Order: sequence, then C-alpha cells, then structure tokens
Amino acid sequence: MSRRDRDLDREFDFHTEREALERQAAGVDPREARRQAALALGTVEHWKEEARSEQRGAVVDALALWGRDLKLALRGLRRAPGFAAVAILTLALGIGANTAVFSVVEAVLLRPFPFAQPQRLSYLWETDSRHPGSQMPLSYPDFRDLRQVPALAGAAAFTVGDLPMTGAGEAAHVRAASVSDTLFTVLGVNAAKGRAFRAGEDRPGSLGGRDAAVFSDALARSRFGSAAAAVGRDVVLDGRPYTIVGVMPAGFQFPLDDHEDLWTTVAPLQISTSGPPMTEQRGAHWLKAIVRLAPGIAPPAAAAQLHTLTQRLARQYRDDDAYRETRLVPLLANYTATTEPVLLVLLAAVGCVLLIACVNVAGLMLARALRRRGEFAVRAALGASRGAVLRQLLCESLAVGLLGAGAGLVLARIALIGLVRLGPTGIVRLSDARLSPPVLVFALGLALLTALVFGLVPALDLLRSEHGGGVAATMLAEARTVASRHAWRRVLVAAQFALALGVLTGALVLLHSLTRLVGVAPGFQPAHVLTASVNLPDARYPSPGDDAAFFGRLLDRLRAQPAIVSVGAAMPVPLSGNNIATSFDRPAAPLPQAEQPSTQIGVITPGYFNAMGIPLLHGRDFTDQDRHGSPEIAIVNQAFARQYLKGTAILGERLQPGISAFPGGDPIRTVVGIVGDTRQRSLDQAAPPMIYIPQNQVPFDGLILVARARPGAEAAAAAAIRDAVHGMDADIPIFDLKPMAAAVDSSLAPARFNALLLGLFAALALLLAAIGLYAVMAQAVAQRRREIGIRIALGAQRRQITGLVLREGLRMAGLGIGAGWLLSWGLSRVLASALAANLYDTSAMDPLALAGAPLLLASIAWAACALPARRAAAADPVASLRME
Amino acid sequence: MGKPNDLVQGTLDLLILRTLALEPMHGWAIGRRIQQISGEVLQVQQGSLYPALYRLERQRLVSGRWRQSETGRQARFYSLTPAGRRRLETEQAQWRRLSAAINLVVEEAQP
Repeated sequence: MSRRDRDLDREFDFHTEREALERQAAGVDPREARRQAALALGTVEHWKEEARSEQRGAVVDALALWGRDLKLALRGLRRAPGFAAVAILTLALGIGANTAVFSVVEAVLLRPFPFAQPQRLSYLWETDSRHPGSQMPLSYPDFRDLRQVPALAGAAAFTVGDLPMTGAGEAAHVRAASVSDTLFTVLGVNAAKGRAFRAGEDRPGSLGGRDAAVFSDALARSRFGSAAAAVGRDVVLDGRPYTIVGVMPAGFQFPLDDHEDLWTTVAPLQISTSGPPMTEQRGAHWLKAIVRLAPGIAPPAAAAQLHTLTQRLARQYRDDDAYRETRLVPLLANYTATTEPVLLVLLAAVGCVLLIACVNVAGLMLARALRRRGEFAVRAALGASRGAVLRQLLCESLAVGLLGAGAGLVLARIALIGLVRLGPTGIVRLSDARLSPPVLVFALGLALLTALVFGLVPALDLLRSEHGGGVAATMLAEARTVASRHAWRRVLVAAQFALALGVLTGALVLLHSLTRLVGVAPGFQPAHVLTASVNLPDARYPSPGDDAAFFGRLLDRLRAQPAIVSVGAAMPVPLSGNNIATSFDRPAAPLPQAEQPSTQIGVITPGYFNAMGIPLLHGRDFTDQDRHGSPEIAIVNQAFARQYLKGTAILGERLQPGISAFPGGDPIRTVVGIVGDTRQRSLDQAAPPMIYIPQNQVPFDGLILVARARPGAEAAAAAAIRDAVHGMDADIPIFDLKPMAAAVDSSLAPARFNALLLGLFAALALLLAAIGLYAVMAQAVAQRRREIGIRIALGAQRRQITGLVLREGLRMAGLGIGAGWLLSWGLSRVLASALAANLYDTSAMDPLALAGAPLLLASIAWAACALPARRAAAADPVASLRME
Repeated sequence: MGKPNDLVQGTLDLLILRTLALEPMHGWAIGRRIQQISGEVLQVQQGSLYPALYRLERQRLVSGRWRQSETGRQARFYSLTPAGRRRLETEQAQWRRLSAAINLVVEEAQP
C-alpha cells in the first residue's frame, strides 16, 4: 500500500468516525451510529477509486478524459442517428474512394518488387537515334556485347511466347519465357524446389541432349500434384525434350507484365535448319533485357559505359547497328510509365472528393454545434474549461472520423474487387491491390486528418464567438457571428464547386477521348469474327513446306463448314499484341542497308482480307496459285502506298522486304494489290504502313486463324475450328480462341477504366457539392423565414422570393465554378502532360469539356437551390411571423 | 442527474473554495458547513467531496496538512492557497453573471 493510499484510508476513517460521533451526539446508540455513518459513506471502494483517480498523473488523467469524451461522443451520435448516418456515410464515401485508389497506388507504384535489391534493377532497351523516344528490344549478339560492360553486375535477356506442351498430361499451350541462363541470378530469386538455371544451360542439349526448364508453382501443381514431384520430370515443349530442373516459389512472376507458366532458356533458338539462327542475327531485335547495376555504380555512370560501347558497335557493325543507342529504364518506371500519371490524377481526384465531403461534414458539425450552444455555455459556466469543451467537440469529430473510416474500409474492399476486375491488363501488379498494412495506416491517417479538419471548424467558431462571458454574453456574441459564419459557409460551398469542376472537367476530357476512341474505324469488321492461334511444333513439321501444306489443308476443311462464311489465317492479326517488322528496299531507288526504312509485315493466306473484313481497294488478293516457285508478290496498305510509293503506279512496283523462309536470300516482290489500313497495335495508334506477303511464299509455323462465322453460329464455328485442327493432328492445341470483338474491347479497356473511374469520382464530387449547397440554402431559408414572411406580407411576389433564393445560391456556386474554371485552365497544362499517353484525339484543353463542365455544374447548382427556393416562396407569412 | 441537491462539479469547487476562505477545515467539516449554511438544502456526497478536494489540491488551489482535530484525532486540514483565493474571486464574479443570466431567462420564460 502506498503512502498516498494510506493517507486516503486514514482520511476516510476519520470521516466515518466524525460522522458517527455526530449521530451519537444526536442520541443514537454508538454501534448504530457507526453503522449509519458507514452506510452514509456509501460504497467506499467506489469513491476511493474516484478520489485516487483525481490524484493520478496528468497524462493518465488526460487519456482517461479523452476516453470518457469519446464514449460520450459515441453515445451522443447514437442519440442523433440522422446526423450520424449522413456524416458517417459522406465521410465513408470520401475515405472509401481514397483508400481504394491508394490501395492500387500502393500495390502498383509503392510496393517494392519481390527481387533482391530491386532498386538496382533496370530494363535495358535499344533506341534508334533517328527516332528519339523509340524503344526496341535487343538482338542476341548486341546483348552478348553489352552485358560485358563493367558497370553491370549482371544482365539477362528474355522473350515470351506460347509453346505446345506434351508429355505431362493432356497436350496444352503454355505461356513460356525464353531466357538467358542468367535471369534468376540477376533477379536474385531462387527456385523453391530443385534449382534455377545454371551457367551454360542456354546452350542446346546441355542436360545430356535435353534442355532445362523451370516451372511455375501453379503449373507444377496442376500437372504433377506438387512442386517437389515436378522436379526431375521430363516434358516435351514445342516438340523438344526438356527436364524440369526446378520450380519457382508460388506467386513468383517475371516478366511482371505477363503471366508465365514456365521458363526455358534460349537454347532452341541457337539452332536453325535454314540460315543463321536467331541468336546470331545482329539485326533481329527480339530480346528484352534486364540488368543489375554493379554495387556503387550510379545509373548515369552505367549509361555512359553503355554509350561508349554502343558507339564502338555502331562503327564495327554499320549495317545493323549504325543508329543504335541504349537506354536504361529503372524497373518500376519501365512498368508504370503510362499508368503512374493516371493513378496520380485519380488520387488527386479522390482527394478533391474527400475535401468536398469534409466540407459537408464540417457544415453538419457546425449546425449541430450551433444547436448545442446553450449546452456548451452552461457547461462552461459550471466550470468546464474551454479546453474541455474543445475536447468534447474534437472527440465527436474523431468518433465520426473513425466510424467513417471504418465504413470507408468496407466500401474500399468492395470497390477494389471491381477495380481489379475492370482494370486493364496494362496496369502491372493491379491484381495485387488489397487493404495492406500501409493502406490501413493511410485510412487511419485520413480519418484523423479529416476529423481535425471538420472538427476544427465548429471548434474555431466556438472560440471566436466566446468572449469569456456567460450564457447571455454568448447569445449576444452569437448574433454578431451569424453573419460572418454565413459568409464563411459561402466560401466553403464555392470551394466545393471549384473542386467539383476540376474533377468534372478531367472526367469529361477522358470521356470525350473515350467516345472518340470508340468511334474509331479500326479498318476491319470485328463482328462475328473468331480468331484462334495454331502453332506447329518444329520437330514434327520441320520444313517451311510442311507448314504451308498443313495450313492449306486446314483452311480447305474450314471453308467447307456451314457455320463459317469465310476463313483465312495471318501473322499477326490486328490487336493481337504480335508484330513483325523488317527493313525493306526498293530496287528502283536502292539505299544502303543501314538507311533502309522499316515496315510492318503481315504474312497471310488467301481469304484473310475477306474474313477480317479488310477492303481490297485495287488490284487482286492472293490466291492458292501464289506459292513457292511462282512469281514473288506482295500487297501493300494505303499508309504504305502514301508514305513510300507516292508518285508511282503502286501496282507493279517492286519491293524487297527483308524476309524469307527458303534459301536464296530475300526475293524482290511485285505489288499486286492495295488494301485498306488497319489499326494494328491498339485502337489509339495510327495504322502503320504494312506489306502483306503470301504465307505460301514465306511459310510461318505459327498463324492465327481468322474465321467469319454466320451470324448466330459463332459457337458452331468455334467447335468447327477445334474439330478441324484436332482432326488433322490431335497433338496440336488451339489457344486464344476468342471473338475478334474481345480484342477490340480489351484495346478499349484502359481508356474505359480511366474514364469510368474519373467519371465516378466526378459524379460523387457533384453529388456532394450539390448536397452541400442544398444544405446551406435550406438553412439560410429557415433562418430568414421571418424576413421572407415580411416580404410576402408586404406584397412580394412568390416569383420574386424564388428568384431571391436562387440568385443567392447560384451566386455562391457561380463564384466556385468561375474560380474552378480558371483553376482547370491552369491545371490542364499539367493534366495534358500527365495524360498525354492516355488521351486519344482529344486535347486536355478540350473545348467541349471546358464549356460543358461549368454548364453541367451550374444546372446541378440550380437544381440544388430550386427546392429551398420553392419552400421559401411557399412560406405562409402569418405562420412564419408568429414563429418568432 | 435528477436529484435536486445534486451538485454539478464546477459549482462544488466554488462552494469548497468559499467555505475554506473563512478558515482551514477537514473534509467532514467542509461538507457539514456547506449543509448548514445552505439551510440544509445542499447535501454534499462524500463521493463528490473528496475527489473535488484532491482535484483542487492537484491544481494547487488548496493544500492539505495533517493536524490535530477537535476530537483529538489527527485529521487532514485543507486551506486556501493564494492561487485558490484568486480563483475564488473570478469564480464568484462568473457565478454572479451566470445566475443573473439564468434568472433573466427563467423569469422571462414565465407565461
């Protein structure tokens, strides 16, 4: 027992004894007196505890007070369920939207990559010094030279593609990365079971005639039951024998913008039946590269070393490397270059929404505090310090803030499901977004910050109107502050409209851009068209002639299907993510190889244009008679004709694109037709110049089937494609069987995602700003009921009263819209650079948005004022005067 | 709340300070004195009295000392500090304003 407790006991003992003595003196029997005294003392322990708590330290005390006030605040909220519901819901919308967007920002931009020292990893690209900003993959010989630079601790090259897999259950297509044997070392990630690649395993047949493969955890489980069971097993990939040497940890992904089932080395690309293998062609740019900077080396130093080496290569290999430069792009920037500005714009937009929500809640708190002025004044008069009253107010804000954040987290969780599902595949790591610890801290921070913001408004108001007097003085002071308070609310409403206009303008710009993009004519007719990829394994179809023969027979079979109107095949088809580029020469005006322009190539079968709905404008289509041995021909698109064949007859012109499948060099081809342009990479990129070449003259082992189905018979057509391929070779899997419309749709996905999100936030901002304006106007009308009553009694027309109220509200909104418009104008420059890559054929200063947003907002403001205005006009003058 | 003789915290502080302004007293005597002077209207519960005393002591408005009491036993006597005396003056002034204001309101509210 402490001295303090002993003192307490002694003091209470004395008190009881003194009380008993008093009763004894009044004639009560001593024992009875003692009993009564003890009874009067009540539950001793209870008030001992209270007394003790008064003696405790100030910190514990303060905490206890805050706790008590918080409990009081919660009880107060329960007693005002309407106020509580509106305030908490408003805040939940604001905090929920912010938390959801921040979850994405955290997953995509802030979370470190799951590799060793990820900040030292960079992508290495080659560029063409004639086209600043260009970015292309490396050739294997260039990669081999560049990795020697001492500033690099390691370098790895990789490319991704689909492979047919057999020998491990049912034949299937798997997504595979072909990588240099250094990849996992550079990333600093080990296999979970077995091992990653060893040095030398990117040479063919390094494991006693077999090649090494590393499986993902998911594929190992689905094919062999467990990761451990997969190690050491044999599989056949693209007709070649492999041994699984290891399985990566669950969740491991590389490259991060793709989803690999397994990793092989570039070994198979080192051998070729015709001409030099891919790995020996310095002009073939097909490998992406990731490098790890050596310890202590800054990126500029590494870039300088790479530059020196590139210059030497340019002199040494004039034909291929004359205009080569290199560029290092940090890992994060490489994946987020276009998504980062969008996410930051979205974050800014939800920030505006939260501010608007905060103002509304502040208004609610203010109105509530006003109704309770009497209570506060009495409390202050009874000895509650100003600090205590402020603490009570802040506790209420805190309670609202925390409850709002709690509800906001629930909303954010739901919103995240939608975000991840709707999000375009281009946002790397989007699917990793969740309510992670940093996100929870963010939400809590928002709750505290917003509580402080909207809690301070009534608190400051209270302080301002407090003049140290009692109830009467407070009442006097209040009359004086009503006017200034009203002015202040007006400024806040104007600010809400300014913020809402900013978000709305941004949303309209994106929406306009989206409608432009939707309206783009892609140059083909996607409706009822199905595409499917078919790859022939080299091992069973070794020669180009085999490939040509297979696809010829396959198309013959498909043409006989009643569900299929027309059919062809091509590599690539528009929006498939594939592209073939090569340089070309014109015998009529030859150029040295280094100076030859580059063009896109389409290798197609007869019937492709028809099936895809690409119009033949001049000349003729390819036929089955155009084969290896017959005259070498080509078809060009309009963009090609415009750019390279201006002033010629076009038809009959001779071109020599750098592409061949048979020995004897690249043949010179005669142009026999002109077709319409097609958007190839995405809908927002202009149609590139293209040369089409008949598949029979340059047979590819992998083509994309294009079948135009009879309308309504899409399912039958899909079944027919499957049957036809399997009927010819049961071991050839069909993959990516999907409607062409789906490719168009996913090409629209990023723009739609951006417009949808910003549009949603703009709608939220609009709604909240309208509610804010409505609340202020309704309150103003209620306060001025007497004045309005007098006006009506003196003969004012109802129309004039309506006009009076509307004018006041619209002046407020107009002020905000005006300020917001100037702000948007200024900000659009920032927005333009941020969204440049995300806008199609629309300027950030889009006149439609800059004019439409204020109009839309003004009409919303009008609607928000109309109801209070009508109510004011409908007031009964006698009743409203009697009220006072 | 509800009992007519319940004292609100701020008021009790004022009453204690006022009582101690006359002479130092122990807890029991303070309660007794308030009861007597108010004509038995105000009854100070011990459950409020001692916490109030300790609070005032912590705020250095009163100070407690063990001394011999009228019964011969040791009791804790409380006396006003200079700060307590100043506080009493401001509280009294404030009380006058408040009671006048409440009076105004209450009397005006008569139908």
